[in-house]
Amino acid sequence: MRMAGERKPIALYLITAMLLAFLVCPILIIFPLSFSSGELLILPTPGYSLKWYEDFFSNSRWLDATRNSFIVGIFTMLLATLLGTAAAFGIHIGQFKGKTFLLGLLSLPMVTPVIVTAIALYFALASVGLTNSLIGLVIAHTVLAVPYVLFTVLASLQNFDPNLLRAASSLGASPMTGLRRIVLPLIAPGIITGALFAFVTSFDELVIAIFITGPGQMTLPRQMFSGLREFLSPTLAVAAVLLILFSLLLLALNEWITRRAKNRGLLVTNEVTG
Amino acid sequence: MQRSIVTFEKVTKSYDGKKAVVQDIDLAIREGEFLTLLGPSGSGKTTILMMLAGFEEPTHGTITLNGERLNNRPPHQRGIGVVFQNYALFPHMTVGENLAFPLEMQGIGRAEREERILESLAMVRLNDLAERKPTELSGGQQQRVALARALIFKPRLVLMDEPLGALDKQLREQMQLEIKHIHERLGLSVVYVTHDQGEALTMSNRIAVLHQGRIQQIASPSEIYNEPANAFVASFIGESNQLEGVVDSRDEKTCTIQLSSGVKIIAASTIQHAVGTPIIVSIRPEQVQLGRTKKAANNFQAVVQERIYLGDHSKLRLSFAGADSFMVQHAAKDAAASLNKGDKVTISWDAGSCRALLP
Repeated sequence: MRMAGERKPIALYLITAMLLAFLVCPILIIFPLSFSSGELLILPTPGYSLKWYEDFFSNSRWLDATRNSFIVGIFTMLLATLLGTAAAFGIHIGQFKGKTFLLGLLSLPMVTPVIVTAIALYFALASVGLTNSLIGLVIAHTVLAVPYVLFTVLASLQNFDPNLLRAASSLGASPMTGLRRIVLPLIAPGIITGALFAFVTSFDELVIAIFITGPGQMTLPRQMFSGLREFLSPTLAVAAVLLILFSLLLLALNEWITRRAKNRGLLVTNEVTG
Repeated sequence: MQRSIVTFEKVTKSYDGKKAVVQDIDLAIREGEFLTLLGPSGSGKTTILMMLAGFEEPTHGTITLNGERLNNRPPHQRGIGVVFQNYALFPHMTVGENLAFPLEMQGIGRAEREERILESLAMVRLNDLAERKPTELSGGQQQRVALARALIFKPRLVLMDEPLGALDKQLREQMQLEIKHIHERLGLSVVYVTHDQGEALTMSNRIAVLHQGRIQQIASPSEIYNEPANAFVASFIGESNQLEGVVDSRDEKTCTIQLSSGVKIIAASTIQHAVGTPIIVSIRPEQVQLGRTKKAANNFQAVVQERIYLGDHSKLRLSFAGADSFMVQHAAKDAAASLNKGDKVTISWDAGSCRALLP
């Protein structure tokens, strides 16, 4: 006799498959569209060609937007990583009242509707003349990205044994040396993950870019948005495909770094607490 | 008397400004001695160590090292070695890199570093493990690396915070002797924190017994064991039968204590307690004789409740003086081995082997 528990949960498999299809199919549809030989963003495509890829890589509009996105993304990443790591470290190590309040305050950009942040930043940056500039956009994106760095670094600090810092100082290391030689190498995987998050936050951000930038500072998402409204050419699909591939690359990079850290024993910390 | 390397003067530590974790600590640590801070958890022993290392600041009072005031001097400028309970080895560095770290901090060149690392590894008998990561070592090996790392920069004072707490009993006893021998060889001062009285008795030149943030007694291990200053010390170090009573009468050498059950016990009078003072009489189980002893000042009847076999010796739990938890120790091959529950037995002890202590 077969036990009820031995039956394969076919319904569960089916629902899971449908859900996954629902999530992934819209993304996959972009791929054939980007290889279309037609002039319009429609399925089925009349034929396949690489001409829209050629258009993307020869059109200064798309190339400038890509360059701007990388510039803003990289500077946002650097700034947000610096600020977020410092904040995480201070909150974790420091002994003061109001930590919960401070954490809540610092996570506001994650929970506030982006449109609200965008309007607020527009007025703030306008008052100092930083709208229509890449610097302004970097500042705005940093506001959005800092909480992501803060929380990933805080998470990796949870596994950090504070006795290591005490040990370092008892062995003659100043607080800065302890930070550089002991803390940073041990929480590096968390910092790198946070940095990648910060980059992606900036790289695919649209709403704030619409508010802050002018036609001279088009970013990739903003260019895609205008493309959708004005030109509707399959180059848009090309940009989308490239974005997806780039995201996958970052994801793989993050996975590789985390694994490498695990293998080198960087993520193993206070296992022997007595 | 030797020079003091560390002094505590009226040191108090409070985290919330109200409750003191340690209170009015006066302590002089002698050059070259092995001093153990012994006490139950929450007695303040680790706080004292942390203040000495510089990880905590005293709320009141002064700590000096070699005559210099330590307050507000950061830990990395104190030159005190610390061995942590969970070892605190740097997991991203090899054993060799861990040992090199304090030497690099002192600006010692590569050649001398490598020489000292080899020397150090030989001292803790881990000669071939310089290339290993701490996670690849056993608990005992990690402990040895932590010890070597705290000693390699030649501090004159080393602090150890329950360093053997995570090891099993056999390894712990072996490491106790190893640490003791290293201390004797290097001639440095050690302050050792533990809640294990056996460890304290084995290793120390002096023991400071702590309870509720205060030093209860500071003395050599044998003094602590044989001449406890109060009832807490008597009960915390070794086993003791403690009987409550009041001073009934006293002369120059002895005093008589009347227990609540009416039994009168004659104890050596070490402190001049006035008649009527509430007192605890403390008698160690191994000090009690089974059977009548003519010379002994105290001879009583008791009833056997239970016999506990412990291999090399046995214990009898007796009902005596209104309670039934009076413990007596005897050799396993003794005639007492044939005693059974309900048997009547005579117990006796000298006035000198029981102590009248303030509760």
